[in-house]
Amino acid sequence: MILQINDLNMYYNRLQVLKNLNIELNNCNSIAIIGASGCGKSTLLRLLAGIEYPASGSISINRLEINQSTLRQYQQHIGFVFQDHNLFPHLSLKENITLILEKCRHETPEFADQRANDLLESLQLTEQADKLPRHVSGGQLQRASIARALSTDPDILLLDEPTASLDPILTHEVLKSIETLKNSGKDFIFVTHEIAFVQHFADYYIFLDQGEIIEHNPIGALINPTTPELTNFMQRVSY
Amino acid sequence: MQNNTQRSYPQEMFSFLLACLFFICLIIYVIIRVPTENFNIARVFHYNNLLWLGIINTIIISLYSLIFGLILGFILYITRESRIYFLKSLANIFIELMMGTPLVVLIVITTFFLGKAFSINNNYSLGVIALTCYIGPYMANMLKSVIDSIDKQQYIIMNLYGFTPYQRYRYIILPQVIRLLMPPLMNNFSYTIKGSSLLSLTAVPEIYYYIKNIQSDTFAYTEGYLVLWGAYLLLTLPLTILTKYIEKRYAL
Repeated sequence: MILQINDLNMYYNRLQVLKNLNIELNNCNSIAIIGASGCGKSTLLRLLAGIEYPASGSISINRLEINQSTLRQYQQHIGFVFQDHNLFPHLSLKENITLILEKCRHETPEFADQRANDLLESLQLTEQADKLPRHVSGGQLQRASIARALSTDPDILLLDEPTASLDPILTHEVLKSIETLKNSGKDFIFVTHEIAFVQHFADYYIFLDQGEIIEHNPIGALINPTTPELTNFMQRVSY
Repeated sequence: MQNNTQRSYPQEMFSFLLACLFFICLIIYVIIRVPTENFNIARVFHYNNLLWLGIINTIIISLYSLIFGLILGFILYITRESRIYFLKSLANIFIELMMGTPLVVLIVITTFFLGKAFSINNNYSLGVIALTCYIGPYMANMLKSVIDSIDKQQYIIMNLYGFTPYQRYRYIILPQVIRLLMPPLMNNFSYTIKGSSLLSLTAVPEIYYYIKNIQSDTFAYTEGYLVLWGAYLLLTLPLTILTKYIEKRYAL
Protein backbone atom coordinates (compact mmCIF):
# COMPACT_ATOMS: atom_id res chain seq x y z
CA MET A 1 0.00 0.00 0.00
CA ILE A 2 1.08 3.54 -0.63
CA LEU A 3 0.15 5.95 2.15
CA GLN A 4 0.55 9.70 1.96
CA ILE A 5 -0.46 12.12 4.69
CA ASN A 6 0.09 15.84 4.23
CA ASP A 7 -0.19 18.50 6.93
CA LEU A 8 -3.02 16.67 8.66
CA ASN A 9 -4.73 18.51 11.52
CA MET A 10 -7.72 17.43 13.55
CA TYR A 11 -9.64 19.11 16.37
CA TYR A 12 -12.37 18.01 18.73
CA ASN A 13 -14.00 21.27 19.71
CA ARG A 14 -10.96 23.40 20.57
CA LEU A 15 -8.69 20.49 21.43
CA GLN A 16 -6.13 19.71 18.78
CA VAL A 17 -5.83 15.94 18.67
CA LEU A 18 -3.61 15.61 15.60
CA LYS A 19 -0.89 18.15 14.91
CA ASN A 20 0.49 18.62 11.45
CA LEU A 21 1.10 14.99 10.50
CA ASN A 22 3.23 14.26 7.48
CA ILE A 23 4.22 10.86 6.26
CA GLU A 24 4.91 9.06 3.02
CA LEU A 25 5.16 5.29 2.88
CA ASN A 26 5.58 2.98 -0.07
CA ASN A 27 5.21 -0.76 -0.20
CA CYS A 28 4.03 -1.43 3.30
CA ASN A 29 1.75 -4.38 3.93
CA SER A 30 1.05 -3.90 7.54
CA ILE A 31 1.31 -0.64 9.47
CA ALA A 32 0.93 -0.47 13.23
CA ILE A 33 -0.07 2.80 14.89
CA ILE A 34 1.14 2.78 18.47
CA GLY A 35 1.18 5.21 21.37
CA ALA A 36 -0.26 5.85 24.80
CA SER A 37 -4.01 6.29 25.35
CA GLY A 38 -5.29 9.63 24.12
CA CYS A 39 -2.38 10.23 21.74
CA GLY A 40 -4.73 10.41 18.76
CA LYS A 41 -4.11 7.01 17.20
CA SER A 42 -7.77 5.98 17.00
CA THR A 43 -8.59 9.38 15.52
CA LEU A 44 -5.92 8.89 12.86
CA LEU A 45 -7.38 5.49 12.00
CA ARG A 46 -10.89 6.93 11.74
CA LEU A 47 -9.59 9.61 9.40
CA LEU A 48 -7.87 6.93 7.35
CA ALA A 49 -11.19 5.11 7.07
CA GLY A 50 -13.06 8.26 6.06
CA ILE A 51 -15.38 7.93 9.07
CA GLU A 52 -14.37 11.44 10.07
CA TYR A 53 -12.99 14.31 8.04
CA PRO A 54 -9.79 16.15 8.92
CA ALA A 55 -9.88 19.84 9.82
CA SER A 56 -7.12 20.45 7.31
CA GLY A 57 -4.61 18.47 5.29
CA SER A 58 -5.04 15.47 3.07
CA ILE A 59 -4.74 11.72 3.10
CA SER A 60 -4.24 9.55 0.08
CA ILE A 61 -4.06 5.81 0.02
CA ASN A 62 -2.87 3.99 -3.10
CA ARG A 63 -2.78 7.38 -4.83
CA LEU A 64 -6.48 7.99 -4.18
CA GLU A 65 -7.13 11.11 -2.13
CA ILE A 66 -9.89 10.66 0.41
CA ASN A 67 -12.49 13.41 0.11
CA GLN A 68 -16.24 13.84 -0.25
CA SER A 69 -16.30 12.78 -3.88
CA THR A 70 -14.03 9.76 -3.64
CA LEU A 71 -15.25 8.55 -0.26
CA ARG A 72 -17.84 6.07 -1.52
CA GLN A 73 -15.42 4.62 -4.03
CA TYR A 74 -12.69 4.43 -1.39
CA GLN A 75 -14.86 2.83 1.27
CA GLN A 76 -15.76 0.04 -1.15
CA HIS A 77 -12.17 -1.10 -0.81
CA ILE A 78 -11.69 -1.06 2.93
CA GLY A 79 -12.86 -3.10 5.87
CA PHE A 80 -13.04 -1.70 9.40
CA VAL A 81 -13.00 -3.56 12.71
CA PHE A 82 -13.96 -1.59 15.80
CA GLN A 83 -12.79 -1.94 19.37
CA ASP A 84 -16.24 -3.24 20.28
CA HIS A 85 -17.57 -5.67 17.77
CA ASN A 86 -20.48 -3.58 16.40
CA LEU A 87 -22.33 -6.44 14.81
CA PHE A 88 -26.01 -5.77 14.27
CA PRO A 89 -27.54 -7.26 17.44
CA HIS A 90 -30.73 -8.59 15.87
CA LEU A 91 -28.98 -10.62 13.17
CA SER A 92 -27.05 -13.86 13.52
CA LEU A 93 -23.31 -13.81 12.82
CA LYS A 94 -23.95 -15.18 9.37
CA GLU A 95 -26.81 -12.78 8.57
CA ASN A 96 -24.53 -9.91 9.59
CA ILE A 97 -22.36 -10.89 6.65
CA THR A 98 -24.99 -11.93 4.12
CA LEU A 99 -27.13 -8.81 4.64
CA ILE A 100 -24.27 -6.52 3.64
CA LEU A 101 -23.30 -8.66 0.66
CA GLU A 102 -26.86 -8.95 -0.62
CA LYS A 103 -28.18 -5.46 0.03
CA CYS A 104 -25.12 -3.23 -0.24
CA ARG A 105 -22.99 -5.18 -2.70
CA HIS A 106 -25.93 -6.66 -4.63
CA GLU A 107 -24.55 -10.19 -4.66
CA THR A 108 -26.86 -13.16 -5.14
CA PRO A 109 -28.12 -14.89 -1.97
CA GLU A 110 -26.26 -18.08 -2.98
CA PHE A 111 -22.97 -16.23 -3.37
CA ALA A 112 -23.47 -14.37 -0.07
CA ASP A 113 -24.31 -17.59 1.72
CA GLN A 114 -21.26 -19.37 0.32
CA ARG A 115 -18.94 -16.48 1.11
CA ALA A 116 -20.26 -16.16 4.68
CA ASN A 117 -19.80 -19.89 5.25
CA ASP A 118 -16.25 -19.81 3.91
CA LEU A 119 -15.26 -16.83 6.02
CA LEU A 120 -16.84 -18.12 9.19
CA GLU A 121 -15.15 -21.45 8.65
CA SER A 122 -11.75 -19.85 8.13
CA LEU A 123 -12.21 -18.00 11.42
CA GLN A 124 -13.46 -21.16 13.19
CA LEU A 125 -16.96 -19.86 13.68
CA THR A 126 -19.00 -22.46 11.80
CA GLU A 127 -20.73 -23.64 14.97
CA GLN A 128 -21.66 -20.09 15.96
CA ALA A 129 -22.87 -19.04 12.51
CA ASP A 130 -26.57 -19.02 13.36
CA LYS A 131 -26.27 -17.58 16.85
CA LEU A 132 -27.14 -14.02 17.76
CA PRO A 133 -24.24 -11.77 18.81
CA ARG A 134 -25.36 -11.76 22.45
CA HIS A 135 -25.08 -15.53 22.63
CA VAL A 136 -21.39 -15.84 21.74
CA SER A 137 -18.15 -14.87 23.51
CA GLY A 138 -16.26 -11.61 23.09
CA GLY A 139 -13.49 -13.28 21.11
CA GLN A 140 -15.97 -14.92 18.77
CA LEU A 141 -17.74 -11.60 18.28
CA GLN A 142 -14.50 -9.90 17.39
CA ARG A 143 -13.60 -12.69 14.94
CA ALA A 144 -17.08 -12.45 13.43
CA SER A 145 -16.62 -8.73 12.88
CA ILE A 146 -13.29 -9.45 11.23
CA ALA A 147 -15.16 -11.92 9.02
CA ARG A 148 -17.71 -9.22 8.19
CA ALA A 149 -14.99 -6.72 7.40
CA LEU A 150 -13.37 -9.28 5.08
CA SER A 151 -16.63 -10.25 3.41
CA THR A 152 -16.54 -7.46 0.85
CA ASP A 153 -13.02 -8.51 -0.11
CA PRO A 154 -11.34 -5.21 0.86
CA ASP A 155 -7.84 -4.28 -0.21
CA ILE A 156 -7.10 -2.74 3.16
CA LEU A 157 -8.27 -3.85 6.56
CA LEU A 158 -8.29 -1.26 9.34
CA LEU A 159 -8.43 -2.52 12.92
CA ASP A 160 -9.03 -0.19 15.85
CA GLU A 161 -7.75 -1.92 19.00
CA PRO A 162 -9.54 -5.14 18.10
CA THR A 163 -8.51 -6.79 21.36
CA ALA A 164 -8.86 -3.92 23.83
CA SER A 165 -12.02 -5.22 25.44
CA LEU A 166 -10.91 -8.86 25.65
CA ASP A 167 -9.16 -10.93 28.31
CA PRO A 168 -5.70 -12.39 27.52
CA ILE A 169 -6.99 -15.75 26.32
CA LEU A 170 -9.55 -14.23 23.95
CA THR A 171 -6.94 -11.67 22.85
CA HIS A 172 -4.65 -14.51 21.85
CA GLU A 173 -7.53 -16.19 20.01
CA VAL A 174 -8.27 -13.05 17.98
CA LEU A 175 -4.64 -12.18 17.25
CA LYS A 176 -4.05 -15.72 16.02
CA SER A 177 -6.93 -15.33 13.58
CA ILE A 178 -5.50 -12.04 12.31
CA GLU A 179 -2.14 -13.73 11.81
CA THR A 180 -3.68 -16.28 9.48
CA LEU A 181 -4.69 -13.38 7.25
CA LYS A 182 -1.14 -12.19 6.83
CA ASN A 183 -0.57 -14.10 3.62
CA SER A 184 -3.96 -13.28 2.15
CA GLY A 185 -2.52 -10.43 0.08
CA LYS A 186 -4.40 -7.77 2.01
CA ASP A 187 -2.91 -4.67 3.58
CA PHE A 188 -3.41 -3.85 7.23
CA ILE A 189 -3.42 -0.69 9.27
CA PHE A 190 -4.04 -1.30 12.93
CA VAL A 191 -4.02 0.34 16.31
CA THR A 192 -3.15 -1.87 19.24
CA HIS A 193 -1.54 -2.02 22.66
CA GLU A 194 -0.17 -5.53 22.07
CA ILE A 195 3.47 -4.66 21.38
CA ALA A 196 4.51 -8.30 21.03
CA PHE A 197 1.93 -8.68 18.29
CA VAL A 198 3.12 -5.50 16.58
CA GLN A 199 6.68 -6.79 16.48
CA HIS A 200 5.51 -10.08 15.10
CA PHE A 201 2.93 -8.92 12.58
CA ALA A 202 3.61 -5.38 11.41
CA ASP A 203 6.32 -4.38 8.96
CA TYR A 204 6.17 -0.69 9.80
CA TYR A 205 5.21 1.33 12.85
CA ILE A 206 4.04 4.88 13.43
CA PHE A 207 4.53 6.12 16.98
CA LEU A 208 2.26 8.98 18.06
CA ASP A 209 2.61 11.06 21.17
CA GLN A 210 0.19 13.88 22.04
CA GLY A 211 -1.04 14.13 18.48
CA GLU A 212 2.35 14.23 16.82
CA ILE A 213 4.29 11.61 14.91
CA ILE A 214 7.43 11.11 16.95
CA GLU A 215 8.87 8.18 15.06
CA HIS A 216 8.01 6.06 12.07
CA ASN A 217 10.26 3.28 10.96
CA PRO A 218 10.39 -0.26 9.68
CA ILE A 219 9.49 -2.60 12.51
CA GLY A 220 13.07 -3.69 13.23
CA ALA A 221 13.81 -0.29 14.72
CA LEU A 222 11.21 -0.74 17.43
CA ILE A 223 13.60 -2.52 19.77
CA ASN A 224 16.14 0.31 19.50
CA PRO A 225 14.12 3.51 19.85
CA THR A 226 15.94 6.69 18.91
CA THR A 227 13.66 9.16 20.68
CA PRO A 228 13.19 9.51 24.44
CA GLU A 229 9.38 9.40 24.03
CA LEU A 230 9.39 5.99 22.38
CA THR A 231 12.07 4.71 24.78
CA ASN A 232 9.84 5.75 27.64
CA PHE A 233 6.77 4.19 25.99
CA MET A 234 8.53 0.88 25.33
CA GLN A 235 9.75 0.73 28.92
CA ARG A 236 6.22 1.27 30.17
CA VAL A 237 4.59 -1.39 27.98
CA SER A 238 7.17 -4.11 28.74
CA TYR A 239 7.98 -5.41 32.18
CA MET B 1 -29.96 -13.66 40.53
CA GLN B 2 -32.13 -14.77 37.65
CA ASN B 3 -33.22 -17.94 39.44
CA ASN B 4 -34.55 -15.98 42.39
CA THR B 5 -36.83 -13.90 40.21
CA GLN B 6 -38.20 -16.83 38.23
CA ARG B 7 -41.42 -18.22 39.66
CA SER B 8 -43.28 -21.34 38.70
CA TYR B 9 -46.45 -21.02 36.65
CA PRO B 10 -48.98 -22.29 39.28
CA GLN B 11 -47.46 -19.97 41.87
CA GLU B 12 -47.81 -17.01 39.51
CA MET B 13 -51.38 -17.98 38.62
CA PHE B 14 -52.31 -18.25 42.30
CA SER B 15 -50.94 -14.78 43.04
CA PHE B 16 -52.79 -13.40 40.03
CA LEU B 17 -56.11 -14.91 41.14
CA LEU B 18 -55.50 -13.60 44.66
CA ALA B 19 -55.05 -10.10 43.26
CA CYS B 20 -58.29 -10.49 41.25
CA LEU B 21 -60.04 -11.58 44.42
CA PHE B 22 -58.83 -8.41 46.13
CA PHE B 23 -60.48 -6.21 43.54
CA ILE B 24 -63.69 -8.29 43.53
CA CYS B 25 -63.91 -7.93 47.32
CA LEU B 26 -63.41 -4.19 46.96
CA ILE B 27 -66.26 -3.98 44.45
CA ILE B 28 -68.56 -6.12 46.62
CA TYR B 29 -67.80 -3.88 49.59
CA VAL B 30 -68.73 -0.80 47.60
CA ILE B 31 -71.96 -2.45 46.37
CA ILE B 32 -72.95 -3.39 49.92
CA ARG B 33 -72.25 0.09 51.27
CA VAL B 34 -74.07 2.01 48.54
CA PRO B 35 -77.93 2.03 48.48
CA THR B 36 -79.02 0.33 45.26
CA GLU B 37 -82.80 0.28 45.35
CA ASN B 38 -83.08 2.36 42.16
CA PHE B 39 -80.13 0.68 40.48
CA ASN B 40 -81.16 -1.11 37.31
CA ILE B 41 -78.48 -1.64 34.74
CA ALA B 42 -80.89 -3.45 32.42
CA ARG B 43 -82.38 -0.11 31.50
CA VAL B 44 -79.14 0.76 29.73
CA PHE B 45 -78.77 -2.62 28.07
CA HIS B 46 -82.24 -2.17 26.68
CA TYR B 47 -80.50 0.01 24.06
CA ASN B 48 -77.82 -2.49 23.18
CA ASN B 49 -78.04 -1.79 19.44
CA LEU B 50 -76.92 1.76 20.11
CA LEU B 51 -74.21 0.54 22.46
CA TRP B 52 -72.70 -1.73 19.81
CA LEU B 53 -72.90 1.00 17.21
CA GLY B 54 -71.09 3.32 19.60
CA ILE B 55 -68.39 0.76 20.34
CA ILE B 56 -67.83 0.13 16.64
CA ASN B 57 -67.60 3.86 15.94
CA THR B 58 -65.16 4.28 18.81
CA ILE B 59 -62.98 1.50 17.41
CA ILE B 60 -63.06 3.00 13.91
CA ILE B 61 -62.25 6.52 15.14
CA SER B 62 -59.44 5.23 17.34
CA LEU B 63 -57.95 3.10 14.58
CA TYR B 64 -57.96 5.99 12.11
CA SER B 65 -56.47 8.31 14.72
CA LEU B 66 -53.80 5.78 15.64
CA ILE B 67 -52.76 5.20 12.03
CA PHE B 68 -52.78 8.89 11.10
CA GLY B 69 -51.18 9.73 14.45
CA LEU B 70 -48.36 7.31 13.75
CA ILE B 71 -47.86 8.79 10.28
CA LEU B 72 -47.94 12.33 11.69
CA GLY B 73 -45.56 11.25 14.46
CA PHE B 74 -43.11 9.84 11.91
CA ILE B 75 -43.31 13.04 9.84
CA LEU B 76 -42.73 15.12 12.98
CA TYR B 77 -39.81 12.89 13.97
CA ILE B 78 -38.21 13.21 10.52
CA THR B 79 -38.72 16.97 10.31
CA ARG B 80 -37.44 17.52 13.84
CA GLU B 81 -34.27 15.61 12.94
CA SER B 82 -34.01 17.58 9.69
CA ARG B 83 -31.05 19.83 9.00
CA ILE B 84 -33.36 22.49 7.54
CA TYR B 85 -33.94 24.79 10.47
CA PHE B 86 -37.29 26.03 9.20
CA LEU B 87 -38.77 22.50 9.12
CA LYS B 88 -37.23 21.70 12.47
CA SER B 89 -38.83 24.81 13.98
CA LEU B 90 -42.22 24.00 12.45
CA ALA B 91 -42.16 20.56 14.05
CA ASN B 92 -40.91 21.87 17.39
CA ILE B 93 -43.54 24.59 17.63
CA PHE B 94 -46.30 22.15 16.70
CA ILE B 95 -45.13 19.59 19.26
CA GLU B 96 -44.79 22.11 22.08
CA LEU B 97 -48.17 23.61 21.27
CA MET B 98 -49.93 20.24 21.21
CA MET B 99 -48.20 18.95 24.33
CA GLY B 100 -49.66 21.86 26.28
CA THR B 101 -53.18 21.65 24.86
CA PRO B 102 -55.92 19.74 26.69
CA LEU B 103 -57.73 17.38 24.34
CA VAL B 104 -61.06 19.00 25.13
CA VAL B 105 -59.82 22.39 23.95
CA LEU B 106 -58.22 20.87 20.88
CA ILE B 107 -61.47 19.17 19.84
CA VAL B 108 -63.47 22.36 20.27
CA ILE B 109 -60.93 24.45 18.36
CA THR B 110 -60.68 21.91 15.55
CA THR B 111 -64.42 21.59 15.16
CA PHE B 112 -65.59 25.17 15.62
CA PHE B 113 -62.64 27.14 14.25
CA LEU B 114 -60.48 25.03 11.95
CA GLY B 115 -63.50 23.20 10.56
CA LYS B 116 -65.17 26.49 9.66
CA ALA B 117 -61.95 28.03 8.35
CA PHE B 118 -61.19 25.12 6.04
CA SER B 119 -64.87 24.37 5.30
CA ILE B 120 -64.87 20.84 6.70
CA ASN B 121 -68.32 20.17 8.09
CA ASN B 122 -68.03 16.53 9.02
CA ASN B 123 -67.59 16.33 12.81
CA TYR B 124 -66.52 12.72 12.50
CA SER B 125 -63.48 13.63 10.35
CA LEU B 126 -62.76 16.71 12.44
CA GLY B 127 -62.71 14.50 15.52
CA VAL B 128 -60.21 12.18 13.89
CA ILE B 129 -58.09 15.21 12.93
CA ALA B 130 -58.15 16.50 16.52
CA LEU B 131 -57.17 13.12 17.96
CA THR B 132 -54.45 12.71 15.33
CA CYS B 133 -52.95 16.10 16.17
CA TYR B 134 -53.18 15.28 19.85
CA ILE B 135 -51.46 11.90 19.66
CA GLY B 136 -48.94 12.76 16.88
CA PRO B 137 -46.40 14.53 19.14
CA TYR B 138 -46.49 11.62 21.61
CA MET B 139 -45.81 9.29 18.69
CA ALA B 140 -42.90 11.50 17.59
CA ASN B 141 -41.39 11.40 21.09
CA MET B 142 -41.90 7.67 21.27
CA LEU B 143 -40.13 7.16 17.93
CA LYS B 144 -37.29 9.43 19.00
CA SER B 145 -36.63 7.69 22.30
CA VAL B 146 -36.82 4.25 20.73
CA ILE B 147 -34.69 5.02 17.67
CA ASP B 148 -32.12 6.83 19.84
CA SER B 149 -31.61 3.59 21.71
CA ILE B 150 -29.74 2.20 18.71
CA ASP B 151 -25.98 2.33 19.17
CA LYS B 152 -24.41 5.25 17.26
CA GLN B 153 -21.64 3.02 15.91
CA GLN B 154 -24.20 1.01 13.99
CA TYR B 155 -24.79 4.15 11.92
CA ILE B 156 -21.06 4.36 11.23
CA ILE B 157 -21.18 0.78 9.97
CA MET B 158 -24.21 1.58 7.81
CA ASN B 159 -22.40 4.62 6.37
CA LEU B 160 -19.29 2.58 5.74
CA TYR B 161 -21.20 0.01 3.70
CA GLY B 162 -23.44 2.59 2.05
CA PHE B 163 -26.90 1.55 3.25
CA THR B 164 -29.68 3.56 1.61
CA PRO B 165 -32.17 5.29 3.96
CA TYR B 166 -34.79 2.68 3.11
CA GLN B 167 -32.38 -0.18 3.84
CA ARG B 168 -31.42 1.40 7.17
CA TYR B 169 -35.00 1.47 8.41
CA ARG B 170 -36.11 -1.78 6.82
CA TYR B 171 -33.24 -4.07 7.76
CA ILE B 172 -31.49 -2.51 10.75
CA ILE B 173 -33.56 0.02 12.66
CA LEU B 174 -37.12 -1.30 12.44
CA PRO B 175 -36.39 -4.92 13.39
CA GLN B 176 -34.51 -3.71 16.45
CA VAL B 177 -37.09 -1.20 17.63
CA ILE B 178 -40.34 -3.06 17.00
CA ARG B 179 -40.19 -4.84 20.35
CA LEU B 180 -39.35 -1.62 22.19
CA LEU B 181 -42.02 0.21 20.25
CA MET B 182 -44.95 -2.02 21.25
CA PRO B 183 -45.55 -0.94 24.88
CA PRO B 184 -45.55 2.85 24.24
CA LEU B 185 -47.53 2.33 21.03
CA MET B 186 -50.23 0.43 22.88
CA ASN B 187 -50.21 3.07 25.63
CA ASN B 188 -50.83 5.72 23.02
CA PHE B 189 -53.56 3.60 21.52
CA SER B 190 -55.37 3.33 24.82
CA TYR B 191 -55.00 7.10 25.33
CA THR B 192 -56.59 7.54 21.92
CA ILE B 193 -59.46 5.20 22.72
CA LYS B 194 -60.19 6.89 26.03
CA GLY B 195 -59.64 10.35 24.57
CA SER B 196 -62.20 9.68 21.86
CA SER B 197 -64.91 9.85 24.55
CA LEU B 198 -64.48 13.65 24.49
CA LEU B 199 -65.70 13.71 20.89
CA SER B 200 -69.22 13.33 22.33
CA LEU B 201 -68.94 17.09 22.92
CA THR B 202 -69.21 17.72 19.21
CA ALA B 203 -71.87 15.06 18.67
CA VAL B 204 -69.62 12.47 17.07
CA PRO B 205 -71.62 9.23 17.40
CA GLU B 206 -69.16 7.27 19.53
CA ILE B 207 -69.95 5.25 22.62
CA TYR B 208 -70.08 8.08 25.17
CA TYR B 209 -72.39 10.08 22.91
CA TYR B 210 -74.90 7.23 22.83
CA ILE B 211 -74.54 6.62 26.55
CA LYS B 212 -75.34 10.29 27.17
CA ASN B 213 -78.46 9.97 25.03
CA ILE B 214 -79.50 6.81 26.82
CA GLN B 215 -78.88 8.51 30.15
CA SER B 216 -81.13 11.41 29.36
CA ASP B 217 -83.79 9.02 28.06
CA THR B 218 -83.81 6.72 31.07
CA PHE B 219 -82.30 8.81 33.87
CA ALA B 220 -80.03 5.83 34.54
CA TYR B 221 -76.95 8.02 35.02
CA THR B 222 -74.76 5.89 37.27
CA GLU B 223 -75.64 2.75 35.36
CA GLY B 224 -74.70 4.49 32.12
CA TYR B 225 -71.25 5.32 33.41
CA LEU B 226 -70.70 1.77 34.61
CA VAL B 227 -71.61 0.41 31.19
CA LEU B 228 -69.31 2.98 29.62
CA TRP B 229 -66.51 1.85 31.91
CA GLY B 230 -67.12 -1.77 30.91
CA ALA B 231 -67.12 -0.83 27.22
CA TYR B 232 -63.72 0.90 27.45
CA LEU B 233 -62.25 -2.01 29.40
CA LEU B 234 -63.58 -4.32 26.70
CA LEU B 235 -61.53 -2.31 24.19
CA THR B 236 -58.33 -1.73 26.16
CA LEU B 237 -57.76 -5.05 27.94
CA PRO B 238 -57.32 -7.09 24.72
CA LEU B 239 -54.69 -4.52 23.68
CA THR B 240 -52.66 -5.22 26.80
CA ILE B 241 -52.77 -8.93 26.06
CA LEU B 242 -51.81 -8.32 22.43
CA THR B 243 -48.84 -6.18 23.53
CA LYS B 244 -47.56 -8.91 25.84
CA TYR B 245 -47.84 -11.41 23.00
CA ILE B 246 -45.98 -9.23 20.48
CA GLU B 247 -43.25 -8.45 23.00
CA LYS B 248 -42.72 -12.18 23.54
CA ARG B 249 -42.83 -12.88 19.83
CA TYR B 250 -40.07 -10.35 19.05
CA ALA B 251 -38.02 -10.95 22.19
CA LEU B 252 -34.28 -11.09 21.43
